Amino acid sequence: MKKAKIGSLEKGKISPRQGGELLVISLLATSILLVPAVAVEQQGQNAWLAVLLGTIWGLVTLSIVCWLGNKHPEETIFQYTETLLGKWLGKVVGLLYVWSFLRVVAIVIREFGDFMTTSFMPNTPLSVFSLSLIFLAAWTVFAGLEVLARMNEFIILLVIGSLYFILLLSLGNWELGYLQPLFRVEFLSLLKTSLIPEVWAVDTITFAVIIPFLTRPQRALAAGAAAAVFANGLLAIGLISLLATFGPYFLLVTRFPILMFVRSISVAQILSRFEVLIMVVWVAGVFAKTTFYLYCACLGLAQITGLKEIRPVVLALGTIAVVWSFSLFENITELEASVSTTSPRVLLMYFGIPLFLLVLTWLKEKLHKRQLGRMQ
Amino acid sequence: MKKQLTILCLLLFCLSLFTAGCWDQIEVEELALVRAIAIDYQPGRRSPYLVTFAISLPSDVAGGEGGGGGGGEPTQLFSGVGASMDLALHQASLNLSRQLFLSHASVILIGEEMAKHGLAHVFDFIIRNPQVRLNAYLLYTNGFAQQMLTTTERLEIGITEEIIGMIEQARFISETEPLPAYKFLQKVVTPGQAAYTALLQKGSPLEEIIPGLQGEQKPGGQEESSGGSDSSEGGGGEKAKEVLTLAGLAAFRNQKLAGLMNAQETRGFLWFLGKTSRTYLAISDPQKPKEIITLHVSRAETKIKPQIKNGQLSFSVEVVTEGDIRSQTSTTKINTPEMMKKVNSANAAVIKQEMEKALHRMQQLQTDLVGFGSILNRHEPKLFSRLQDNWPEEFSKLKVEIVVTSDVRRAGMQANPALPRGE
Repeated sequence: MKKAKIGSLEKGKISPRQGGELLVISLLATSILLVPAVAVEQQGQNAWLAVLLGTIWGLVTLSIVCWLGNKHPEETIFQYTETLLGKWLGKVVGLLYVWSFLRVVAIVIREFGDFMTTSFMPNTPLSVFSLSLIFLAAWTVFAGLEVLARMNEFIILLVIGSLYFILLLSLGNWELGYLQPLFRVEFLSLLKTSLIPEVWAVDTITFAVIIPFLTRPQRALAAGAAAAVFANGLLAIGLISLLATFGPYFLLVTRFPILMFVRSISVAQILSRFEVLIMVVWVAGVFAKTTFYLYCACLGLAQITGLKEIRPVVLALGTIAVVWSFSLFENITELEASVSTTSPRVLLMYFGIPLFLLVLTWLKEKLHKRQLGRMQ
Repeated sequence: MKKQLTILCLLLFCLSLFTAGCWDQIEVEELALVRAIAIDYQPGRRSPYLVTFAISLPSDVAGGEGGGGGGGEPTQLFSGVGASMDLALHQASLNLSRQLFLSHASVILIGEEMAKHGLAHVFDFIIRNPQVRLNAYLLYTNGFAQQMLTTTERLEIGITEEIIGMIEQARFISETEPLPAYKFLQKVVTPGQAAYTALLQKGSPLEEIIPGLQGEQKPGGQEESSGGSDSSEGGGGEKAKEVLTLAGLAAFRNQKLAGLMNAQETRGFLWFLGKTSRTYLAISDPQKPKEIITLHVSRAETKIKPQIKNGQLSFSVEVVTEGDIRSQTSTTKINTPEMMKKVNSANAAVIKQEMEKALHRMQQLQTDLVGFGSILNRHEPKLFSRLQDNWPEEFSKLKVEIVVTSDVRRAGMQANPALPRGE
């Protein structure tokens, strides 16, 4: 069976830790802004439980993907779908993933623009944010995965540092009574909330793309799991502090609870006005996430079409993502509605197809062994 | 290729210098910094919302005027009317050479009529507008909120600083509880909890003005007038300039003003929250009932628990307080363990009575300021969800059992009253 060599598309290698950091930023960048409102609306003071449950689903996806990565060394998901499903069907499934990654890029661009225009720059057109973001992202994708991962090492310090700083300062505003009554939840509804893509750590699917580029692919599962647990753990802590500050009722009145939360911080009337830190988290995090997903989409398309270089598709996909981001939602309510529900598509992309590929790999292996046995 | 790239980078960098803030770019010099917002409602008008902004003058203007004797007014008031808050803001902008900027507003005053009309629209404005900060303090004012901003008698240079100073001072007095807007809103939206905020009013700076002295010494530290003829008119005299007073609470029910709690009722209410850590109490002398002993509270802790006996809901409130004796008007010897016990029990009784009065007032207003409902929700969610719809009425019939434990720890520097020996 003929395989496209990876080396021709991506020459860089990243360490498992860098891979994990890319995952952390992808998980945190958007969830910290969007999850609180959604999860609290559905689960009240126990929203953080849904986030913890979501982490488990994320880990399930991750383990499937890592298992697949180990069985098909040196291959990305776009390549082993072809190996497993045959040339044409494999390409279709691969394109499905390219489409899915690009959709994330479009949604994130739109969220970024809408947040900025709503809360900081009401007179600036959305396109300014979308275009500058995609321009930067495309530029970084040109530079390759290694550059992206190294840049992310710096960004992640900014993001995590800012978040911890904010959480620490908010301690003075906490009223733990708001978290009561604890554990008063219906499991089915909790399950439903935990399956919302932002709560469910779906970004773990990106490991299906980057495992071949890790210096030690066998460490992928450990690094990814640590990243997912860390990111969603921080999100859960953030949710708890938001709930303890605002309570489950007032939280729903505001559009971006985390921004209100930061604005409410005032330590001794001196340490206040920290929304610039939320800007840091948001701008830097979103930039890293957009770049990472755009990279995955571009790499996928290049591999599926058998290109020798990733460059020709970057600008094309970038342009599509921007246009898509405008046309995806009519207004902010549609955006919110779309990120607050789960759909069969999500289940299929992040659980169904990987599981199917896993079963297929396993069957093929068995068949192969039986054939070998027969030959002997 | 590399050179071109460098030039491109430089060009982009230079361009970015001019585009900071994109379409929203504005210089600080073009902003009118709003420090306080007063919101009034004039019923019956087509544009009922009267919004007054206290704008801090740019330093060059204020400094020029008030540099010497401190006579300059560092804040300027502008107002606008409109059918909604933002329309009023829009109208106020017509009088301004700068763009209104609300991010520095740290006090929001709500006028009486506004509070009676209902605050839904005010909430909408302060939450929706991205500039307004929700840790600005929300205060209720008797009469027109605008009038509070025109108070000239004050210690601080600006009116906003004066009000903020009073808010910070309130912590040491425990007779009111100013709340930032977000905490107020929290209480508004939480089931089984009524919202309240501090009450700001205008009043005379002197508690009592002795009629005979009116001509010679005018209240408010005014200079003496040259002629004594004014004082001969008696009674009327010159009206004292009024100062601001921050005491008591305004209680809200369903976003509307339900009623006011005076300073004493407010303290009684604050005992329920355990927020009376610095206040003075007067109890009657155990031996001479007409004389008093004053105590200073240094610590207060309160536990509230719902109880259900035979299907009857009641609450138990346990208060533990510590304090020290600050003064006595009699010469009774209180420096013995037995007397301390008596002082303690008298103190507990006084606190309990104060709390009961406050509770009675809250029940009368049907406002659950303490949040008994939300406490019930935490402990007995099922029971509360049944009572929730009718909670204000349920609350007004609620049985609350109050137990106060007082521990007087110290008695100041005086060991014995200063009396001749042997008396």
